[in-house]
Order: sequence, then structure tokens, then C-alpha cells
Amino acid sequence: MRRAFVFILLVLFCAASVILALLTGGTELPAGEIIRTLLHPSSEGVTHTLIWELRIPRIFTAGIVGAALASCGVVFQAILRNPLAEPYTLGVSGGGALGATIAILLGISGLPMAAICFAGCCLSIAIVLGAASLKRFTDSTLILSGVIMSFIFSSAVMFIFSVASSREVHASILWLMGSLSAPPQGSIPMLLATLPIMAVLLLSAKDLNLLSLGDESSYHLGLNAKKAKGLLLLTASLITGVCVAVSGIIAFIGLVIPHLARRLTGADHRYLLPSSMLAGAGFLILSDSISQVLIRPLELPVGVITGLVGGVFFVLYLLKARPAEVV
Amino acid sequence: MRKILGILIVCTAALSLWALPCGAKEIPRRIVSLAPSFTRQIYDLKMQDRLVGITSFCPKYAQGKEIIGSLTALNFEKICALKPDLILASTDSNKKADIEKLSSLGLAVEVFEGCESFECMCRGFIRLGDLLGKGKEARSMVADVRSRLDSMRSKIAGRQKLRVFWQMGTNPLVTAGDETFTGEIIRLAGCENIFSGVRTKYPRVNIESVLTRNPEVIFIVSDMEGARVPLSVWKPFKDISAVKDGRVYVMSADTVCQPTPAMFLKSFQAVIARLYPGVI
Amino acid sequence: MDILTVENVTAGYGKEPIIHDVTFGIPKGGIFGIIGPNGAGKTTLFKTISKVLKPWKGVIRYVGNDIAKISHKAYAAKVAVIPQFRTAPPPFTVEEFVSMGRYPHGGRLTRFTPEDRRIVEENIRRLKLEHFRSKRMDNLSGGEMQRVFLAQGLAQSPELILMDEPTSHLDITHKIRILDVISRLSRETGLTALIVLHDLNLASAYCDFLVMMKHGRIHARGSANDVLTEERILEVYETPVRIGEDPAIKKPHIFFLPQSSQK
Repeated sequence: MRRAFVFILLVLFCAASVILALLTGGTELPAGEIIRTLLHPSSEGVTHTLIWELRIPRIFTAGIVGAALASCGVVFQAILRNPLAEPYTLGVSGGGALGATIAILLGISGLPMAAICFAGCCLSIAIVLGAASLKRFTDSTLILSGVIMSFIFSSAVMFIFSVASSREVHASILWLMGSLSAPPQGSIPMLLATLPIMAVLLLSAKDLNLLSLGDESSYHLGLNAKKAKGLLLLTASLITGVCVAVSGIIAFIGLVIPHLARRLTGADHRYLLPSSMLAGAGFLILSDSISQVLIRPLELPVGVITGLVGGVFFVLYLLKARPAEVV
Repeated sequence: MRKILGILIVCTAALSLWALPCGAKEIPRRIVSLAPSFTRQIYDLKMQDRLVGITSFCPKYAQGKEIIGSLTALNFEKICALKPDLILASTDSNKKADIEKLSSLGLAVEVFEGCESFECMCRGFIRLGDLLGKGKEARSMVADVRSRLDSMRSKIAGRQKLRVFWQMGTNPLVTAGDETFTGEIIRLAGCENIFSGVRTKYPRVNIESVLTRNPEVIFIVSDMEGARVPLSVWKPFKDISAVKDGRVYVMSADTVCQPTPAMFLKSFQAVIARLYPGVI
Repeated sequence: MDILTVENVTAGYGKEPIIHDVTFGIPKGGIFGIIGPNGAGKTTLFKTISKVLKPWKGVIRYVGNDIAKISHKAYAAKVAVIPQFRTAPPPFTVEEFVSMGRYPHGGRLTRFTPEDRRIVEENIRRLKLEHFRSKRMDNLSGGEMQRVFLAQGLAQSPELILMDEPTSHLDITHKIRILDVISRLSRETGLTALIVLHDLNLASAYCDFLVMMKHGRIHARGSANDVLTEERILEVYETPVRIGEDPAIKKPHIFFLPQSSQK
């Protein structure tokens, strides 16, 4: 029952991250006060605002975005059969970046900006999946289309940068770094809406197992690979699009967490998906806390922490693993 | 989760009701400034005792104030914890999303337009003065600045109109257009911005166009943190009048980049001193 | 009735067909071999039978039913295609991988039933995989991996298994082992096997029935004794050989004639 033990550990890890995130943040608060505020949700005061309106929504956002990016990473790695695949591989981030930059240029912010950003993601998804469906979704076509779309979108973004004012460029670059500190209004309902969609991913564990064997093998085991791939890629890309619209581009979670989770619970997606979600949620909540505390009262973009911690973790993992196990 | 959200909504409503009517007419006691220009103006109005929070970006004269964020991110927890009754934000320096978030937390935020013209700066300063109960002082300070500006202008009236190139950055080469306050300084000084007529505020220009327009004076603005842009960049271009005559000047960004009326006057003075040495 | 019949099948990939008007039937139980030189169309024929390629002309029937009308999931529950060695083995454990053979029998959200588990166990034991059931696929040797592939295919509880050169990359021990298992299974459970083979001696030793192809057509069919003659092999492979008899199994054995031996 080693797996059950691992899952318990992951749940504990998540819980520990949440507790740590409640106790730490942009300001120092005595633990006693925090606990008191948690027990009396209808009280008032500064501590109350800090906990209930700042920290708790932030933890919630981090948890869902972390779980979403990690599980989408699992899906992309299974379908593209490439250990370097991640949610942004199909150019979703490029589309989102373009949408966000255009919104900033037009002076739009808040929920409308998130909507434009999401529309950018959808545009990227539509082009890549549309082109790939003409070629039966072969792995290399997909990856290539994604790379090309990313290039096209970043060129468009750079074009906008060159004619925009420095203030707009600055704002765009900040957005690109990814941040959980000021998500647009309506982020929480948007994230809640992704939960049932993530449930769809969990139910597709069997299909993902088959897809990771390759097109022909999955076909011979009874799967309509083209349909399954298209549907799963679309679902995962949409979830990623929502995350990008809410918090910008947070790197590394979609790439590293699936590998770590695979080491813990194996490659069977019935276990890999939930374990990735737990690990991703805990990891992002933890990284977000660190980003707020490290150079307090200044705050680091959370992508810096996920990149550094994720990168170091991954290097250690590579060094420890035998060459054959690196997948 | 739903329970927590329900409680959240109730609390936000309660908080906003609580925060609403108070502090509308009273002079604020705890001010948070989200941009260095406000910090400066508060010091100018001698209200710094009421200033409790500033950005890390502010210069050294603002000692003993809490830092509430940097250019990349604001620390919302810190701002809340300081319990401000007035937050000063500018559309120039602050993200709309951040401003909205602060309002949604029930905090009083006054948003100022980013200023590129002297008139705008004066308006902003007076508005800030009114907010802080120093309306009279603000108006008289503005009037004083105006009169000194006029007197300086009259002293240089009739002088030779010089062609000026204002360099904001080396790589890429960025200059200031007409619709900026340095553009205005050049205009008020009776001189000609060689890139007058370009519609962008801070256009990236090609060095060849600088050569063809042959400025007689070049001003180079050094970085905010005080790093020096070498004058030697222009040395090879001996065909430019400014280089030939040795009229390439480096200006500190602190002097010329803060959009307040007092700083405008100071910048104007610094520019005139170099354009027409000995007049002022 | 034959378990599989190929009726006048013509098929190919691009403009020109690779196989022309191929007709034969595979009787139930027993091992059926397809042999022929490179480019003869063996793999193309294999792909039409495994439903990867659609025949341009003709029809393939499984127990009398046109396979084009059978959904490939229903087909997968009856016919297992054993893959060849792959370059990037999936990161599953042996047990997980073999269990995936049960997928064609389940719905979208199946949990494994006790029956499923029993079949998986049976096949792990059959292929002697008990000792590394928890080992990851990428830690196995080529021979071990081929056994795992076979175990997965057998876990599909198929009536017919299809294998395209399953032993080409294996050492002699594993070549014999794999074919022994299939042979035993076919005798004990009535499983039918269709195998594309390069090695004529293995084909002779193990196949009950052979079909020899050349240039996309069937050149000869019948038992090993009928098909594997010196004239036939010279015709089809354009290589002289000497045929003798394998004393142990009383089947034709091909002796090569390297140029140095020809005087």
C-alpha cells in the first residue's frame, strides 16, 4: 500500500502549505491573532481583512492554478509523448501574452482584460489544433505548430512593445512574469468553473494511459486516438488559458510537477493525475508564500521562485535518476 | 468553499459600508504614496508627518517611512496593515488592477492622471494640496513657481533659438517628443526640439536622423539610479554641431524626471543654465 | 469456418497498390505464417488485417463478418496486435502495462473486475513475468519486453493474435521461447496466430500453414513441406539454397549456400 502512503503524504504537504501560507505573508502577524480571526469569520479589523480578503483568496487561487497547471502538464506529456512537454507547449502562453498586451495597450484591465487574454489563448489553441487535425494530430506536427505559434505571438508582442509607451511595456512585462497578488475581479468564479473540467481530466485516465503508448498501440487497444487527443488537448488548453488569464505565465509547474509525481505514484494516470494536482497545489501555495516573505516588504514574482526551486529540484532529480528513468 | 465565499462577501460588504462615509472631508492622517512624485509633493507641502507608506523607489530624503512595494509589485498586506485613510495612485506608475484591488478592499484611493505638461502638474499639485488641507499653500506655491518661470523666460527672451536633442536612453536611442514635459521645457526655453512633430511621446529614433537634424545642444538623461551614460558615445560624430562645440550635457534623472511643479522649475533652470550660460 | 478470410484484397499507401488481389483463409487454431522477401507486401497485408489500412478492393472477414463494419474497439476485444520493439518504452510497470490489455473489454470508467485481474495474473505467470511485475518497462531487456508485449496482447483474451516479425531483434533463446509459448497456447486454448516472419527456419518449425508472397501477390500457400522447396525459394528470393529435413521435427530446414561454398 505504498501508494496510499504517498497520497497521505501529499495531502499533508498541501495542508502544511496552506497553514504556512496562512501564517506568513506580506506582513508579520502573530499566529494567535490569525487563529482568532479564522475562528471568528464575522469579526472586523485589519487582521480580518488581511486573512479573509487577502490571504485566503490568494491561497485558493494558488491552489487551483497549481493543481490545474500540474494536471495539464501531465496531459500534455502523455499526449505529446515528450518529457519536455508542458501546458504552454502549444502556444497558449503566447496567445495569452498577446491578449494581455493588447488589453494593456487599450487601457483595459480587470475582468475584460482577463477575457481578452483568454480569447488570445483560445485563438492560439484554435490555430494549432485546427492545423494539427488536418494531419491526424501526429506528435511532431503538434509540437511544431505550437512552437511556431509561440514565435509568431512573441513577435507580435515585441512589435507592440516597440510602438507602445514605456509604461505599457513595463506593465506588460510585469504581467508576463506571472503574479498571484492582484488577480482580476471574477477570478475566483472562473477558477471554480475549471474544477468540473479538471474532473473530466481525472475521468480520462484510461485514455491517457493508452495515448502514452503511442497512436498505433492505443488504436489496437480500442481507442479512437484522434478524437481522444483532440478532446483532451482542447480541455487542457482551455484550463491553461483560464490560469494564464488569471495569473499570467507561471513557469515550470506544468513541466516539473508531473515528473516528480510520476516518481512518487508511477505512470498510471489514475494515480498520476490526482497526485500531480495535490503536488502542484501545494507547491504553488508554498512558492507564493516564499515570494512574499523572501524580500519582505518587497515581493518577488512567483515565477522566479517556481523557476528557481523547480529548476534546482529538477537538476537533483536528474542527477539521482538513472538515465533510463528520466521519463 | 462556498461557506467561506459567502462569509467573504458579507465581510466585504460590511467593510465597505464601514469605510465609506468617514474621511471624506477630514484631513487624512495616514497617507500612503504609491509613486515617488507624490512623496516629493507631500514633502514640498510639508505634510510628511502624515505620510506612512512609500514605494522602494523613493529617494533618500524619505527616511523612516514604511516601504509598501516596488515597481514590480505592491505589498497589499502591508498597505492594509498601515490602515491608511488616503492612498495616492497615478495612472502612470500604478497598474489599474492594483488600484481596483485596493478599492475593493474598501480603501480610499485618489487616482491622479500621469502628467506630461506643466499645467497638468500644477493642477495635480493643487488638487493634492486641497486633499491635504493645504490648498492655500499649494496655490501660492504654484503661483510662485509660475512667476519665477516667467521671469526666467523674460531674461532669455530674444536669445538665439537653438536646436536641441534630448536623449532619454542610449540603447535603444529614445528621445522626448513635444507632448512631454521635457518637450515643454524646450519649447518654453524658446528652443527647437529636433524631433518636434513626431507624435509619440517617447519615440525610439535612429541615430542617423539625429545626424541629419544636426542639433546644436545635446542633453543626455542619466538613469534614475545614477548610472552615468558616457558622453563618449557622441565623440566620434564630430559633424554634429553640438559635439563640435562641446555642448553635450549630462543631466541627472532626479532633477529632470519628477513630474511636480517645483521640479519642473528646477529642471527648467538647469536646462537654461546650460543653454544660455551666464544669463541666470 | 476459417477465423479470418482475406478476399481479393488490393491495398497500398500512395497512388500504386502494394498488394494485389490477395486471397486466403486462416483456419481456427494453429499458427499461420506470412513469409516473403523485403518489399513483398507482408507488412501492408498485415496492416489491412490489423485494421490500420483500409483495403482499396476486396474484403476481409472475421468469422464471416466484414471487419470494416466492426468497430475497432470490438475488434480489439477479439484480435490482439502484438507490437514490435519500440525505441521509447512507456514508463509503466510490467503489471500496469499488461493490465492495459483489458481496456478493450471495459467501458470508459472501468475499474478492474476480479475477472480482469485473474486474466492479467494468468498471463503474467504464463510469460514468466512474476519476478519483475513491478519493474518499469524501460528497465527491461529486449527479450523481456517482447514477453511483456505478448502478455498484454494475451490479456485481451483474443481469439486471434497478429504479430509482425516479433523475433527479428531477439537472441536465439528468446526467439524460441516466444514462439514456444504461442505454439503451446494455440494447442491448449485454440488460439489462432498470424505471424509475419523473416526467418524461414523458424517459420518452417512453428507454422502450421504458410503463405509466401512476392511482389504483392501470393506466390505459394500450404504447409511448410509444400511451400519451402528449393525451386520456390530460388524463384521468390532469387537465392539458391539447399533444403534438408530437420530430424527432430520432420520439417524442411533451409541450408544457406554462401558464395565461398559454391563451386
